[in-house]
Amino acid sequence: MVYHACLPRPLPLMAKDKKKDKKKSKKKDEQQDSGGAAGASKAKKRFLNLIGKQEEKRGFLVAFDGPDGSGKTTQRKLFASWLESEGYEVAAAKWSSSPLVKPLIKARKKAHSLSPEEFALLQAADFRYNMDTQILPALWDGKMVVADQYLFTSLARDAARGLKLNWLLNLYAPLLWPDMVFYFAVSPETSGKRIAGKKKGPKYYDAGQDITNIEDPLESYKQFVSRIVQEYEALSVIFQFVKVDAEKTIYEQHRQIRQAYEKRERRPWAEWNSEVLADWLERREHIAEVQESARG
Amino acid sequence: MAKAKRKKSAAPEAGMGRKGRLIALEGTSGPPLEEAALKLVRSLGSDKNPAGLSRFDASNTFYDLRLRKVKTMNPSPRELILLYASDLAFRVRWEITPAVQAGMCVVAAPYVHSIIGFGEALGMTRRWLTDLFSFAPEPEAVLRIKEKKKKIRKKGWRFKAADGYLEFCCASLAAGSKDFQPAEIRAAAVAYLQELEKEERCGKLGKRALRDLHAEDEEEKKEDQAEADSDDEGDEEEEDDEE
Repeated sequence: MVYHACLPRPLPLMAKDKKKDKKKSKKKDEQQDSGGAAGASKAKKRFLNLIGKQEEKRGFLVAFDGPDGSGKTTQRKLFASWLESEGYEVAAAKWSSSPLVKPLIKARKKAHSLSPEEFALLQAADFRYNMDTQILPALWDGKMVVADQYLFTSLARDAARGLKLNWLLNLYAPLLWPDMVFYFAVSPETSGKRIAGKKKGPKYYDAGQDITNIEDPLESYKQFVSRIVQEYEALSVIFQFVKVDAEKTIYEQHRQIRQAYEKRERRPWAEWNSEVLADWLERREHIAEVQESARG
Repeated sequence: MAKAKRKKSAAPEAGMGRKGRLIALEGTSGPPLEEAALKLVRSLGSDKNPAGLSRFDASNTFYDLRLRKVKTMNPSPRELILLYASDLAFRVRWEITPAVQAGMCVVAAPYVHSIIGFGEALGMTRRWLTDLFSFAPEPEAVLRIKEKKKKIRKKGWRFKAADGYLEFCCASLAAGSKDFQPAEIRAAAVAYLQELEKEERCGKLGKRALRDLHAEDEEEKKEDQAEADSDDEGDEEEEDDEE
């Protein structure tokens, strides 16, 4: 179906000099539109140099991920205190905790008004804000960042809600690749049992009641978590997670984590994370300038 | 105007009997966009087939952020675009889809393209932006209000954060950067819309566009009528056979 309003209108006949004027102004517009692309690439080069220089001084990003009831928080705390005892400066990064978006998500969760898309988009905004304001500054300053749930939480849960993984990955692009991801593999049954043993049962969205339409939160959770586990298993292959058997004892898991950490390898920033870092460095410079001028 | 083929909207609810329409109206400044959108709604709607407007911030996301003085939090352009997308997901779910399914004509102002232009001006790739908004249903037509980038560059841009999405973002981003030039960013977004128009993926809102939209409407009415008549004839024939 063709809509006539979209057809280009015939150009009015113009005198030669008028045509020239138009060409000149068009060139000007184009130059303005390009917005100093040369300047931008210079800045990018400068940022890439900075990123290269910081590689040795930067911190290490470790993510702990897995379904609810897999014991990742317990292990994250144990690992963080072990790192501190080894003399590292540790910063913790928590999921869904940004002052910008958390209140929005909380209010909508309460009202049960979130659609899977809206939930995924708000969480992506929340994650990005946390990354810009907590994770990247800490890493840049050489701290060890231990993240209790990373973007894989959203990928697994939202994919379990029926959203496409490609679209979800795009929300988090450009990705900040962690140096290491520990995935706590647990069976849906064990996860369900552990959650059932807690004083408070799973909440509406944690139980996946928005998509299962099951009234009993625990029953809904059992169904939802099996989908989540499937998604995690697929992600663990794509992103090469370090798999921790979360059915084992707390001590055994901790020992496995330490051993894996001691064999750690950095993901070079220039190779893996240059885009996200250049973006962040540029903004950081701007904000610092504004703060300085405000002080001045 | 968009060449996007009209998606056969889901079956209209009983009694409504008409297919819904979604018209995207794009523009880079809140107040003129709102004014134009209201005019378009009045022009397209009638007592029998009402038209409605789906505005930015139906979910109150940005209102809430303004109350919490988001400027001091320095959100990044990408975060602001993600928040817009979440608001649009809300609009699609609660306003656009139900209204279109009920056979209404919905004007969404702004919809996707103004934001893609704005995002691109702020350094995001068109591919990322297009993929981000892929959840939004394709509109039957895309129109843009008359805006000139040269004029914006010449005269600058005075705005209030409460005026619209671009205004909100520019106010927040200007708080975090001394060099931030809202007029330049807005002009670049207008340039994107102009580019779409050149590619015939968007039309300019005016008498001609309105005439075409009404003509489409009339055509569809006739088609519906013809379909209904042929159905009636079929029913009558069946009844005769039974007798």
